[in-house]
Amino acid sequence: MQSTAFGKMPFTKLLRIMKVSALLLLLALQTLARPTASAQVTLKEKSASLEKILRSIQKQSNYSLSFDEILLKEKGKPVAISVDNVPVEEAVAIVTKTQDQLEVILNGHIISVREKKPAPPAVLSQGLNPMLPPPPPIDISGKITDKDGNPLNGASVKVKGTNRGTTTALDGVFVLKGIEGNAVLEISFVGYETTTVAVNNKTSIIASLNAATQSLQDVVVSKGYYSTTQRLNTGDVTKVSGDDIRKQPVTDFIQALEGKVAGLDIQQASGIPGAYGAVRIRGQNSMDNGNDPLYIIDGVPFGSASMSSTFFATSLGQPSSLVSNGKGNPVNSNGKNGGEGMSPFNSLNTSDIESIEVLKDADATAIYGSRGANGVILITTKKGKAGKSQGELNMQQGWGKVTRMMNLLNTQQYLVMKREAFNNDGFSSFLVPQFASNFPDLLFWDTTRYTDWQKVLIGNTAKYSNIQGSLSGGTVNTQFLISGGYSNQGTVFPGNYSDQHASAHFNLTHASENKRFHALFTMDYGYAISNLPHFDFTQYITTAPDAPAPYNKDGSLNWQPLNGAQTWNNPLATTFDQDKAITTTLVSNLSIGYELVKGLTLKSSFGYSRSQMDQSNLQPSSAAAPPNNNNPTSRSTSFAVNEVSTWIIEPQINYKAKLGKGQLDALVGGTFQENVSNSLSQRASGFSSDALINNPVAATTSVLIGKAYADYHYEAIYGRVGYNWEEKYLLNITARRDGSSRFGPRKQFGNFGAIGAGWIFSKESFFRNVSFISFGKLRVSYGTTGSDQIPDYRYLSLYAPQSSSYLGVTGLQPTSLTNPDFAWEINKKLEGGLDIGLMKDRINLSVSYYQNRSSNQLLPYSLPFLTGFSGVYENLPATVQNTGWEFTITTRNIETKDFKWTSSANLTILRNKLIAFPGLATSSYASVWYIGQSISTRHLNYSNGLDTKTTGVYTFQTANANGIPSFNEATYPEPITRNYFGGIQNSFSFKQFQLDVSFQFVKQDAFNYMNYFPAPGTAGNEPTIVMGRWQNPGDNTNIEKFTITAGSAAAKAYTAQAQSNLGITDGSFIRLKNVAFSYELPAKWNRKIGLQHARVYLNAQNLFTITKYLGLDPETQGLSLPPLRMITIGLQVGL
Amino acid sequence: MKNFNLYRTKLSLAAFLVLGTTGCKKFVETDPPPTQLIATSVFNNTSTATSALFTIYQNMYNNQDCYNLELYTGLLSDELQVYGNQAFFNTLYHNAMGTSNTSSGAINTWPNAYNYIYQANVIIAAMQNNNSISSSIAGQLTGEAKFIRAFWHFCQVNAYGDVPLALTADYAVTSKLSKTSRVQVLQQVITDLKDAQNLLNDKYLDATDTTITTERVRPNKAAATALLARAYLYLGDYAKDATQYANAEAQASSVISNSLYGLVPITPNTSNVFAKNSNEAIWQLQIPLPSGTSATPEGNNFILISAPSISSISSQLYNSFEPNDLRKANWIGTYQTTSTPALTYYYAYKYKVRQASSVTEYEMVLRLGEQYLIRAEARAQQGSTSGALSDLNIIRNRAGLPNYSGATDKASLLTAILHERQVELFCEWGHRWFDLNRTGAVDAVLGAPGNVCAAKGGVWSTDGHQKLSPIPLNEIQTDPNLTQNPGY
Repeated sequence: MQSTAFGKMPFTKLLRIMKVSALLLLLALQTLARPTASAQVTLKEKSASLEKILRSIQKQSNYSLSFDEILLKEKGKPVAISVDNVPVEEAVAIVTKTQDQLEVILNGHIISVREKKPAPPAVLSQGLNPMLPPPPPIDISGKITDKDGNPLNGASVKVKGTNRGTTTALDGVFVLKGIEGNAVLEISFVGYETTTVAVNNKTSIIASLNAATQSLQDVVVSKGYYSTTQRLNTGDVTKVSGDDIRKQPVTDFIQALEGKVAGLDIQQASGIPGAYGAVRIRGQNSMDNGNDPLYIIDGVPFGSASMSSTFFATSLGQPSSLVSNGKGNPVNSNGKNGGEGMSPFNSLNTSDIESIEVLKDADATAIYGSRGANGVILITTKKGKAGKSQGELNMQQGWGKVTRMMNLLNTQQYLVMKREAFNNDGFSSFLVPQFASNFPDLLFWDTTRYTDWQKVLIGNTAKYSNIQGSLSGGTVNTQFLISGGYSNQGTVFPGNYSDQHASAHFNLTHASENKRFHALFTMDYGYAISNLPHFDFTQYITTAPDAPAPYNKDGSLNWQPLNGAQTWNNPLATTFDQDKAITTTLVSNLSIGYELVKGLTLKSSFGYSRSQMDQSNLQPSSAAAPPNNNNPTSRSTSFAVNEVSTWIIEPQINYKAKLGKGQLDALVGGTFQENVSNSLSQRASGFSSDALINNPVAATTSVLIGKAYADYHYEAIYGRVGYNWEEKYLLNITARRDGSSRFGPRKQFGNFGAIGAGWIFSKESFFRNVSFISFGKLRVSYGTTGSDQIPDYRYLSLYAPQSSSYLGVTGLQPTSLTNPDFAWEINKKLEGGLDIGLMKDRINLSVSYYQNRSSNQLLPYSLPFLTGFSGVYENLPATVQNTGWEFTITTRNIETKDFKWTSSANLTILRNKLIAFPGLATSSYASVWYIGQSISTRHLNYSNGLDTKTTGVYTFQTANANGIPSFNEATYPEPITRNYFGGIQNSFSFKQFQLDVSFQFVKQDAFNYMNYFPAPGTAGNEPTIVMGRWQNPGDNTNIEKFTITAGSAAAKAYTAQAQSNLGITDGSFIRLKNVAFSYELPAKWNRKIGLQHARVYLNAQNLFTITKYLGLDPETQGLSLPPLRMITIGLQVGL
Repeated sequence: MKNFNLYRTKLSLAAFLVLGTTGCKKFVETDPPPTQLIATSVFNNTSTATSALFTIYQNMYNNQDCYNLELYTGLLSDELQVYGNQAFFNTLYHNAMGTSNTSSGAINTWPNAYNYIYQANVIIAAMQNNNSISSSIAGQLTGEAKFIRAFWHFCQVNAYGDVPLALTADYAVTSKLSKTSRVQVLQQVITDLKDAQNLLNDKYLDATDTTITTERVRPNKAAATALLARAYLYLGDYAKDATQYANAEAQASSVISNSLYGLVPITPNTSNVFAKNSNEAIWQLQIPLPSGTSATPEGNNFILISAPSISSISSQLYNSFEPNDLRKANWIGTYQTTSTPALTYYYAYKYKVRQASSVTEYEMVLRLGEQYLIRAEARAQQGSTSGALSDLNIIRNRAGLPNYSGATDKASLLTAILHERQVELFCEWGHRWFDLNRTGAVDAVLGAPGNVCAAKGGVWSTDGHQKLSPIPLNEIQTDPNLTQNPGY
């Protein structure tokens, strides 16, 4: 019992924190000063603005004030008043008299302003007949519905000009007794346009409300532990609605965010369903370590690491070209950033997503402390709504194709290339039968054959089908939502591959009768079966065009054997392998809250998530090439089970109060989290028959190749104080003290915090006259966050058992070098932003500038193999700076009854720079990074181009006698990164038609085709552009002569050229990312067939791409499958 | 303020809720993973310390270091003919080694060698003043670790020339090492091997570290002596120090006179020189179990059952055997195609087992035959013609050949011994390539106009850079004190 709750935190310190928190809350409680019953005011003004007068009344009375500034500005009259110590009621009445268009109303302790209604005729007639008694009061009842006739529960019905009113019940019905027959009812409901209905002595009234066009500034944004509106937000948060995501036929929601959010850079690694992409918020902060954002689903952190087993040589569902660059960042074969394995989000159903918030700056992310350095992505799932039970059914069917193919040589051109290559190198003497197995494409195969391997390997149509259903409803106090779905996505590959998902989502919300107790339970369950191949067939499109037919007549693989050996690598061999991955995912969260006293709420959330992946890879002998094809050892099987479970408990105290003229929001909370991951993998071989390979028991050799276990503990205390003064001056302070088990003793805890401030200058009096600016806010934030994205236990020196034995004893192998002293990477974020609303918020513009500096860089420091390993975790004194501008504009261009047109666009300009690195010159990175340059800068050879006069070989600036620059001559700096990127969305609706069009654009440089095609002639097929090669002195070309030898001067020069300034090309592109077209069936049709509503739609993804890039796709680059053009049709009905 | 007490009660409750849920456990301190051991506990116990040592032997086998070295040096020298159009092997074959991993091949013992040296250094340090392990066992483990450190440093100097000498596991030191001259590295190899001689048991031990076994798979004193003999011979060549040959002779004699070892007749069957625990074996690598093929990488890869896809025995090697050489008959295999005309390919057939259900062969590292040739060469260098001839003829006679009848001047004898090494030790641990380099014969054999390099389609450069492998690019980039070998 001697230790404290917070590990290394001394008890006294803990006590102090508790005292401070208590004091803070106490102070706030005392300010719960209530206005006295008979407030008196004194006003002496000759000509003051109405607003000033009202504020003065508010100040003296301590009453609340609520008014529309624009209304006041436009219709308010200067006020002349002189009263001394009169009750508020009287002052208000006098003020109203000074106005001709407005009236000031006192409702309880709230002072509000509204337009005077034009005098109704009844009043006039009353005026004419002052002697007539008023008509007798009547009782009325009615029903309030939305446009589609759904009852609205909780809508407010008020008799205009009075304090009388009621709210509608569950079925939308209301009753008002004893009102005047000429009364006017004002009906309002959150999210709908307020409307008025004249009673005209009717006793039954039915009214429907139109959904309100919500101002962008009124959108509620979640910042994880608390929410605010965009108007009052001091931080930088972008919200994407689930509807925007669902318009895109993708199984992984990450892909749907591409081009939608300023500052969010997503780069798909491949068009294979579920393939992991790189997700970066505001660039790469960490030089060599985790740069993934923190993902939180309904309050539960969700691991962004792929579940694919580390024991598998290549991860399932993933191109094997994806390899680690040895420095921690997964890269694909072109050095582009990208993840490995299957995306963990692939099993999360996009239909269940209500919204996604992307948290970017220090103000928004510092409350996530050590995990917030790379930004935070909050995923909120759908919740049930009160009212009659509603069913929804959504069905969708689609077809996908590769959008772009490359122009590759046909057989004739290919043979010309190869023969010329032999001639050039003087090796024609090798073209004799003895070497038939070396050069079967010229000496053995049928050279009249032609196969378009792109068509065979990636030319199929990928089918996509998706069906989703949901049921929701509930009472005022309890609401529920149940949904389920199934989707199936195929591939463009040969073979019967698919990625299937089934999911269930359940949500229950409950509040007690007095609304003081709240409970929320959410559960997501996903089940996915994938039999996607463990590599990308795209890499084999370079197969020689005269290669043999892939299959024999009997359906077996054709290896075209020569003397018992295969003469080619049949690219379809893998279609005989059987890969399978079954993933189950459970994410659940229970949140309960209780309002202890007004404004003070105790809350706690309990989250649990569990993911499990079962993988198997069966290699039958029918997939093996001769001479090994009938050997028992050619039949092998790998199995792996991986599971990760997380629990998290987050108790929290919330406090809201008025403090002075402002609103105070405070919270203090804690986090306790544990992740346990476990994996087991097994390999078996030596089956006597292909029929037995599913069961390792039948194997002659069966080895347990790995068992891994990791336990991650994390705890924190966090707090936030937000203060908003008259919705004009905003202040937000957040802090967190964090402990993570990934660090060694004494290094586990870190402190993080941020301060954000906002100034809504449009509320200032001097701004009143600028009428075209309806909203204006300046905000600034500064703070620190950290990153603990490193593997567990790296501070310990560990030995792992080997899976085989020597002299009967199992080996024990050191797993890594050890440094017990590494600690947090520190990220300091500074941001300034300007949010402007123009023309009554029809145009909203947001501009942000940020500067993030990441220092104390934690990374697997590259070491020479001399040390026994390739690296060790260390903190480097280096500082990486990311600066950027982000622009977002949203406009409501046209808004008429039938036609609406809205647009939005975003642009991100990003610069990355290494600004300090003491000791760089003597570190392992002396030739990798340079002060003042981007950390994604590659150092290239400097090419002088082709020697067209004599050799036809590329030449370089080099001192080397052989003409090929040595590595330390590669000094031409070229940042291989995105310079700027963004997206443009347009949304049109005309009556029942809706059309959404989204473009994505990226400006970037990329390595050209030379980086993934070998020197022409040395191996495989080539792009047709190589036919313009140099042949004779004086040929005017920039394409090198053909060569057959991989070690020849020409081949070496080709490789050097690919890694030179001339091996870089413009990889920019503009992509029509998404077109979504839908038609809402007319309501009267629906009623006939018993539907609430029905919608048919057509969605298209990646319709076309405009680029100068020579290759399959400028985003995925290299020989990996490009994103598919997917077109779907669908039907959505409400039951 | 009258509600203050109430508030305080509720606040304390809340604070307790927030802060008190973990009780008193140090929440963020996790236990080490149960699936692994912490280093300190590994070396607190004889059996786990022994396991840590055995890992090196297992890795040497599993990483196919031996086969890779044989294949790469075989292509570089005149032992193997390349097949299949793979850039990596082609560049080796054309003597066009480079530093780009994707398009040029090179000897790549570097990462594994220094990983084994690191593990050995950890064991050497952990055995010092170790209170948990008896001094005799600590001595045996230290001796084996020093032997490993010597073995891989020896391999490194022969592949790369001057290389860094890693004598500590401390990465702060090893990450900044610069090159040590080849001669100095060899001298350190000799120092380590002398230490190992003093520490190691005469007999072979099993995993208990105390019981004697017939399995010749852990280095013993004779293994250290055999490697020491070789190291003295190489040092004599590289340091041009004739006094080293006497040392080489003395160490080789010590092994030859050891009654544990004897030459095994060369026969077509599998109970051959390379059988497991053969009488000739001084140190072999056991095939770790379970094994998929129960065969050595050499047996599995060199033996042809179809036309070759990587390599076959070169015509230079095939034609260098004298008539009736049992080694040609039994250590060279033949594969004939069924096509018309039939094509014939030759392959290294020292290991007979390509795939089996049980293990009958181990991977040979040190064997007695080489000790005779070391002594023959050491004696020839010292002018002892009769002694040299005696050893040479022992090897020749075993191969069914008559006594050497050529000229007996020193140069001729040395040439005869070099040739005998070629046919005796082909495709074993890079002997041929290392012999050509240390004796300086490489220029004549590969480089003379119209000679082997040209026949292979390569160009032999006069600057001699092709004799050494380029140091891996990663090392040059990460160690600021390391320089690339000239010419790369």
